[in-house]
Parts: sequence; C-alpha cells; structure tokens
Amino acid sequence: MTAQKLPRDWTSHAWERAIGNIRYTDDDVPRGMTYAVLVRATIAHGQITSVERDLAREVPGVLGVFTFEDLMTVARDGYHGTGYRDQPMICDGIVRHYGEPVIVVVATNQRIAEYAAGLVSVNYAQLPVVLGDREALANPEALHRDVEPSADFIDLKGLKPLANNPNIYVRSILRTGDFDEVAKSAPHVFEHQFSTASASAAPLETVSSYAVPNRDGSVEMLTQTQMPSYVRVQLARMFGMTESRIRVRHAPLGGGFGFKIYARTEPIVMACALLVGRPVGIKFSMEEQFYLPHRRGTTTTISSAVDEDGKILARRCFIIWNGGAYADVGPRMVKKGGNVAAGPYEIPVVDIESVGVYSNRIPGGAIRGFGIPQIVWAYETHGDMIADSLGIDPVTFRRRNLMKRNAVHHTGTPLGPCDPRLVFERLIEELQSRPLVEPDDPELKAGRGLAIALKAVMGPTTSTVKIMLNPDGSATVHCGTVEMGQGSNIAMAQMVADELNLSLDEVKVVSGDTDSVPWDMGTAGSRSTNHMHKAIAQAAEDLRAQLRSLSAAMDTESQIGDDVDPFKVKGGVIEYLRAGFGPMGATLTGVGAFTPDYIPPDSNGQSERITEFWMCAATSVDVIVDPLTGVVRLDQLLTISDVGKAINPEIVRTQLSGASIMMASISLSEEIKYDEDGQVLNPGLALYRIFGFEDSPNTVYADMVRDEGDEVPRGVGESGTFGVAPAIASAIHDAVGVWMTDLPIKPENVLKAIEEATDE
Amino acid sequence: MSESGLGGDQEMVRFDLNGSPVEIRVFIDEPLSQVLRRLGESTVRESCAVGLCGCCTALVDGKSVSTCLYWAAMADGTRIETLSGLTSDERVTALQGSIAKHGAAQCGYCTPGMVMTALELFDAGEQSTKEIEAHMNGNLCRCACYPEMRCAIKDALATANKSLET
Ligand code: FES
Ligand code: FES
Repeated sequence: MTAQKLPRDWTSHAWERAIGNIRYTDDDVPRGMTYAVLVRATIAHGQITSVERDLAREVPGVLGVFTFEDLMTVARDGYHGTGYRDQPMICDGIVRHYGEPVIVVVATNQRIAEYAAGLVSVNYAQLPVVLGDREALANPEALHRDVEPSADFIDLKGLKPLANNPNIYVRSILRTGDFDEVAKSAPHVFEHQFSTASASAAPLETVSSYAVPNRDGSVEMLTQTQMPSYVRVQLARMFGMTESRIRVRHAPLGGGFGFKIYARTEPIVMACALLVGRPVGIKFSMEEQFYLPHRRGTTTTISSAVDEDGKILARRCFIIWNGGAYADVGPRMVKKGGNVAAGPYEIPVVDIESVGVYSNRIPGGAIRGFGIPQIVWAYETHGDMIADSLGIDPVTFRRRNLMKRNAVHHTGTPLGPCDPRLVFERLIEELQSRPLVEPDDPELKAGRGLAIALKAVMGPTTSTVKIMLNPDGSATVHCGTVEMGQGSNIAMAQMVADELNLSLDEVKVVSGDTDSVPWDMGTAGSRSTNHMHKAIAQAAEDLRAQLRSLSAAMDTESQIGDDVDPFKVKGGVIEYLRAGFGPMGATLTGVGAFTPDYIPPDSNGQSERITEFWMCAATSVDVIVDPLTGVVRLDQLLTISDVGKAINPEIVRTQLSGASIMMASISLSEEIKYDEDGQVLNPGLALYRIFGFEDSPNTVYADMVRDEGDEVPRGVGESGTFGVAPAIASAIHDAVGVWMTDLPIKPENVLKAIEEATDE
Repeated sequence: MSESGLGGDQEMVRFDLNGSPVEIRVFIDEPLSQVLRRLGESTVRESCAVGLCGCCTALVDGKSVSTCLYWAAMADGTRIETLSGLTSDERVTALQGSIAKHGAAQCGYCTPGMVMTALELFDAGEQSTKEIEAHMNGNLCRCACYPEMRCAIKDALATANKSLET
C-alpha cells in the first residue's frame, strides 16, 4: 500500500478509510464458506400449510433445505428478543410479516443457494392483516400467545403481556398530576395529532454473518454487530453452549445506526452451521436488508393547557408505537420515549401514556435516536402550533417554558450538567449571524424553524475494559466498543493516553473479538464512550495501585505513595515494572467496569435515577419551498449539542452533522410503503430514496456546548437527529404558512396543504 | 440456468487490472463488481447493486463505472483500475489527504467509490460546488459526509489547479 505513514490524530480515522485500509466483514470471509439464502413469506399473516422442498434438495451443491423445526434440532431455544422472547430464528409456522424468512437453503455457493431457493414452494392459509397504528391498538386478537418476557435488562423487569388487550405488549405511564383538572380552568387547551412512517437505516454495508463450527464443537462467529457481547450471550442461551465455546468476532462496521443490534441473522447461520457441519454465511442484498427491523411508525396525540402568555400548565401525550410483528427493542423504546414525551419544558402536570402494539408490519427496531426523533416531532411541532395560535414567536415561547439549569425532569431525575437553556441560547446566538437566504426566484419562499430536545442514555448496562501495560510502558487496550464510523478506536486510545500520560502512538486498541475483549453491552444508545470513559478511569486506577505496590521493592526515595500518580513520574513506570519483575519488566493488567446506578420508576413513572445522564440538542433549519410543486429544499442545517466533554471535537462535529442530514433525509424522503395486504412495496434503494449530495443543505454547521467544569463525555451519535423533523415543519410554516403533521413531509402533501389554505 | 442451476454459462475474460494481466472465468451474468471482489479488490464494494450508490466504482479504460451494472464478460480486453492500484497517483493522494483533513469519512464504506468518481473532476478544471455536487450525485453516503466531502474535493481540486498554474 501507500508508503506514507498514517497520521496519528483525529484525521487518521478518515485517512485510513480514504486509502481503503479498513477491512470490513466481507473482506475476510472465513475459508470454506457455504451460503444460506432465505425463502421469504409472500404474505403478511397466515399459517404455513405445506412446504415443497424436494426439487431444491436435489440441486447439486445444496447442503440442506431447512424449516424452523429442522433448526430446532440443534437449538435449545429457537426464540430471542430483548423484552419478550417472541422472535423465532425463522418463521415458526405462523407468518407474521411480509418477507419473514420461512425456509433456509444452504448450498456450496450463493448462486446455487439462490437458484434452489427459487424451487421451494410454500403454501399458506391466510389470516387477517393488521397494519395501521390505531387498528393494531384496537385489534382484539393477539398476534402472539404465551410469550415469555426476557430478563435481560434491569429496566425491563416486570414486563407482562397485558390482559385487557393482548395485542399491546407494553404500556408505560408517566404521571405527575391530573391533566383534565388543569385543563378545565386553563385559558387555552390545544390538541394535535402527529404521525411518522416506518423507515430503514439502510447502512451501505449490507448485513452479513458467518458461522464456523470447529471440530471440538465450539463455534466462531464473524458478524456485523454493534453488540458482540450480547450476541454471544444469546447464542449461548439458544444453543445450550457455554459462552467460552462461542467466539464472536467483528470488523469495523460500514454503518450501524442502531440497525445492527441484538441477535439478527446470527442464530440462523449458527443453526445451519451446526446442521451441515460446515461454515455457513449469510450475505443480504440491500433489498433483503429492508426486511430487518425498521424505525417504527408512531401516532401521537398531544394536548397542552397553556396560560395567556404561552406558559405550559399541563401536557398530555398518548403515543402508539407500531412495533410490527415482533417486539424487539420496543418495550424499552416505548418506556424511554414515553418518559421524555413532554419535552425539555417546565410543566407542572404531565400525563403520558406510551403503548407498544404488535402488527403485521416488519418488526420495529431503532435507528439513530431510539424513538426520540418521533417523539420530538410531535412535541416540538405541537409547541410551534400553539405559539403560532397565540401569536408568540417560537423563540419566546421556548424561553418561557424551557427547563432551567439544575432542573429536575418530569421523571423525577435531575438533569445534572445538561442545561437545555445553554444549548438553546447558543443556537440563537449562532443564528444571529446567519440571515435567512433570499431565493433568487421570487416564486420560491424561504423559512426558518427550530427545535430542541432531550434524551436519556440507554438503560443501565455495563462496560468493562482491560488495559495491558506493556513492559516499555506503552498500553494495549481491550475494549468492546464497536467502531462503526464514530471514531471510537481513536477516542478510546485518547482517553487511555490521557489517563496513562502516553502519546497516541503508544496506545493500541484491540476490539472485535469476545475471546480477548471483555464485556461491553454494546455500542448503541449513546452509551459506550461515556461508560467506557468511566471504566477506563477505573482500570487506570487499578494500574496505579499495582505500580505503587511494585515500587515498594525499590529504595525508599523511589517508592511512591497514594498521593503520587505513577504515570506522572518521568521514567517511573518502566522502573516500577523492572523493580517488580526484573530487567525485562512484564505486563501489568488493569481492569475497570462501570454500571450506572438505577432506581426503577414507581407506578407513576417516577424515579430519582432513571438515567445515568441526559443529552440535549437544538436544531435549526432554513428551507426553500416551491409553492407550485410543494418541493422543500434545505438551505441551512444547524445543530448545537451538549455532548459533555468532546474527546475529538472535529469528529464529534461530523457525527452531529451526519446525523442531522440523515434525519433530514428520513424526514423529507423516506417511507417504507405497504399495500393493504401488508406487502412491502419499496425495499432497496431504487424506490426508497435516501439523500445524496444534491439533497444536502447548502450550509451545515454543528457545534457543542457544555456546562463549565463538565469533564465527562456523554452521547454524540444520536443527538444530531432529535429536532430535525419539527424544525423543518416549522420552517415550512414560516415559508408558506401551512403546518405539516405527518412524516415524511412529501411534496404532494405540502402542495395539498397550500391549496387547502388558499381555498379557505 | 443450465446445469441444474449450477450457475449458468461461463466465459474466459482477460483484462488488465491495475497494471497486471488477469485471466479469469466468469459467469456470463456476473457483474464486474463480484469478479473484482473475487480477485481480492476489497475497495470495490457492492451495496445497492442497482447502480445508485457508487460504492462499486472502478475505472474501466479510464472512465468511472458502476461495476455492479457492468457485465464482467464485457470487460474482456479492457484496462481496469481500482483504488488499490492508484496509490501513487498524485490526484488520488491529494484527495485522500484532503478527506483526512476535512474528516470526510465516517464509516468509510462509501469512501473509495467517492475517490474514484471524484478523480474525473481533475480533468475538468475549477469546479463550483454545484458542479461538484452534480458530478458526485451518484455516490451515496449513509453517514452523510456530504458537506465534508464537498469541501475535501473542492480543496484537492483547488490545490491541483494551483500547482498546474505554477
Ligand atoms: S453497488 Fe454499484 S452502484 Fe451501488
Ligand atoms: S462514510 Fe459511511 S457511508 Fe459514507
């Protein structure tokens, strides 16, 4: 490759990628790989009545054509799911969504497997299809029966299928008072309804997993995952093996976005590998990838009682989360989304009900923001509509209502160093030097909108780290954070270098292998950098203690006590290691683990400690609307986020900017379409359009603020997404005077709204 | 598909890959992207497989091509270049340096394709942002590094043009 030496600073992240130096999962497929291809359901709901697979089996090169029952011969439990164990490895006899895998064909190569898959025929007895949010809520039939809650997460303890409506799998309540009581005497009460469509994360590196069975019965899994530790736990449980016999490896990901979490294709390739006794892999096309969990659609009804000045007195929200066929991350998203549904506002009385429902859509997952963007869409647009009705400008409206520094959130948990007003005022300051563009064409209308939002980090989960201090004082860090574009490998190295007083060149990060890297719950929900930061501090403390005791073997002058940081003593570390182990020194291993404190909420959703930290971000958007076509173009997109301490400010800015553009794409262009039978109409990038260069805003700007003295990194990857959609809606209103309440905001709907407004 | 689906008819093709002659048997319906990956070209990546994302971009006889839409059988007799074959090309190293400086790669999956497509801009002289966007519009980035990539390309082009003048 190139003779140029890699720079070792934040720029090396992009540099390594620009020179093609990163090897992704599919670049190192294990030898002897055979391939599994999935036969998918052509209906959205029904019972499999018969399967005809003889023709496929006869194709030379085919190693197996498997049903769920076949896979179960090597599995102990064929079901997974983080809230409920409701998801079978492949269809268990009842098809619950279009495109659900029903049969797996394994062959010596992908072409043969694809060909043979085309020879399998499956017959179904169809059942009624339920797709819409409200229909799913009202559906008296349970899509699942006898589903066991899983006990994987402390914040999901106590989940029970709900008796009065079996199609609701979780209902979350947050209540600080009686909304109706306040509304009765309030000068104004407003109610609006908002919806969001399903969307796909569509990472450009399409999903793949490769399982290699060893002769001793152990299995090696190479997979694209944001959660290697969790995948191993699930595989061990499902296949009745000890975790020590399952090795999960991964490469840097070509995009994650919350899409590559939990167990997805891994159980399928694992079962197939055990059945055929050979390495088995799955590589999805972009189109197939659309059958993996989506950003779930929502319907939110939100009401506010306000006084004459626009001060919010009480707020009520009812959110339906359309979870599709399997609950997946739903239970957690429904709770977390519900918790923050009243927004970062001081509101004496909030009353929130958040429900997750099953339907015959593709399962709902998470994309960048874990449900929060759907919630913010509702409360920020609602707020602007109220301000508009009362004749208050959006900035004043927010200034009157935003939570103050050191506020206690509606859940009862303090905001800590996260200060919404600081974030908001920084955005306003930034906007002052950026006047709204004047379109060259007088027919076009420009407008500006803004939004602000709050999110809690993912529920209480653990990160652990192992730092090996080498005999020469350099460090090798074993850390489970998954590199997926956010620059974590550099960030982790920097955090260790800071603790150990080393240069970046002296720190190496090892990740991607559960055989050598200790537990990390996963790189998701903006948790990993924060939790690893704390684990690393602990591991460094562990090393310091060990170095101090090694120094006890030296003469009294050289010995160091608790008041001395051995890493700050020039040449000290090598000397202590030699004093302890002889002239060549030896490796010292420091370990650290971090799990946040957590207090489960009471029946009204109250807890003094529901989250380890909060994140706040504000967004502003300038749009140019063509009133003749309804087409909305983005001129400027600004994000201000409180990320705590930024390890690499330049990389943090690109993360915020990228997240905001991705969300602009989802807000204006992306929608998974279903026909009335539940068939997905636009899988793949041909009919599902994501933003390209020309769609991107002309100006994109992102910056960070933080409370003075806040030295702890918090979440980054998600916060750029929070307020984009409502800021766009508000900007459209500013430009052409209509309110859009359904996502995505389609040109035809903008046009219709403009025409209706003109007719009135 | 003939031979009970074993993959259909095959053909022998010969082309020049990054300066070395290659002879390889391909399926007649096999896209060039897959053949290049079989040959170990890891910077050629298949994503959308329908010519929309640009991840699979390579140069065929000097022109950037979405290799997922280009039958390998048609590549017989051509000269193919991928990013790994252009390590000493000054335009390429200038772009790579500029991408690093602007942080224009996040997950990096799209980045080699971006570089390959942007190369053609060097022959076009000074480019406005709009022209760069129009030329690059067939390369998607889900991490949405568009603003950074726009600047990175602009910078690299400006530097190249300046060195031409002097
Ligand atoms: S894979 Fe060829 S253009 Fe997308
Ligand atoms: S950097 Fe991730 S797709 Fe472009």
